[in-house]
Amino acid sequence: MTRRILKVYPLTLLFLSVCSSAQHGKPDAKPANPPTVNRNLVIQGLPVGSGYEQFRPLISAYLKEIEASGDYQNWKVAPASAYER
Amino acid sequence: MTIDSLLARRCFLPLLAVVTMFVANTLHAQGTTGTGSAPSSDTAGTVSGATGGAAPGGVFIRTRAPSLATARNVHFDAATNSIRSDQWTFPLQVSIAEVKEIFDLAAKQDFLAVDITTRSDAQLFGLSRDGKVAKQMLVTDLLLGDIAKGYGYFAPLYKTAGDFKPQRYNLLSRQQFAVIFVFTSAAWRIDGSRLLSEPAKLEVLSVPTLAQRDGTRRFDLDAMKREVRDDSITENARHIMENEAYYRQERAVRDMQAYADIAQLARELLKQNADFAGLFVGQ
Repeated sequence: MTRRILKVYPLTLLFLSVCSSAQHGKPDAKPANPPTVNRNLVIQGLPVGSGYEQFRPLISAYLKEIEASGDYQNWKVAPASAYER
Repeated sequence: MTIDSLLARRCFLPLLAVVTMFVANTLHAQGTTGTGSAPSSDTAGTVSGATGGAAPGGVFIRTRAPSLATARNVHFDAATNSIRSDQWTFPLQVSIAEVKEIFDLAAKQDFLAVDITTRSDAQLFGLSRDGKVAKQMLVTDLLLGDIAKGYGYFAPLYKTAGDFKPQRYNLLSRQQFAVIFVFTSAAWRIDGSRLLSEPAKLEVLSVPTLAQRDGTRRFDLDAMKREVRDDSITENARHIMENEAYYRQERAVRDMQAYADIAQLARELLKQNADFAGLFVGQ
């Protein structure tokens, strides 16, 4: 019995060590992509997102204005910063 | 050609798929459930008449004169950012530049409208392209139109009322639609010395349209007579109208009511032969 334990113990340690180092070396999980508008939105083959993008300067200026004044209660996040992403 | 021969030629199934898609598109465009965005003949007629048959799939501000008692000594008071007369004070919610632009246009026409065309340009119906008024109207159209047609361009960032998930409009439907957001004032009252408007209920109209070669749209009068509707837009429009208080919190949308009020006041003062040119002297 003792002999068997002595045989298995190093192997167990080796296995645990390998697992631990593998876990340690694993890069941090990527943070979820912060939200922005659906810039590349395509509906039924039509590039709807790019249609909106034609008005980008207009939308951007508006969002900057409401974000600067804190007047954006209907938005999930500070909209200008999110829009610029 | 018989069914058997069609099957034999192995073209039956693709043909059936095409026919099914056509019928589905047609039925989708002619859905009759819901009444939320039924074209109001009164409003649609007004829009059509004002725009020469062009269908502004955007924001339309009606400027019926409010019929106030005759105002004397009308002037702009920069200190309080208001228009004042001997009888009342009208506090302005927007900049003097926007007020002046609206007064200028109100002297020429009784509506303000913008329309984003199918080619991502815009018809402005007399508004200056560089002016703040057209810009705010376009932003309102982009935001509310995104919800009304269920595209979802702003969806990752914008909170709809009650976390509503708009239904997506079928872009490939045989019948195309424009959505018109109509702002106007229902009545006016003087509270103390303050002149206040009572906003009319926001109208969200779904209007069948015919696309033109230049990217603009015109009313499809035949489809309107048949009361052709789009189920998705009908549902989304109903949501917006039922939650208009929520959407009026958005600054651009809020400004639409301010514009409607100012335009109507301008029309009233015009009716009373007030001196527009002298109103903003030095501003």
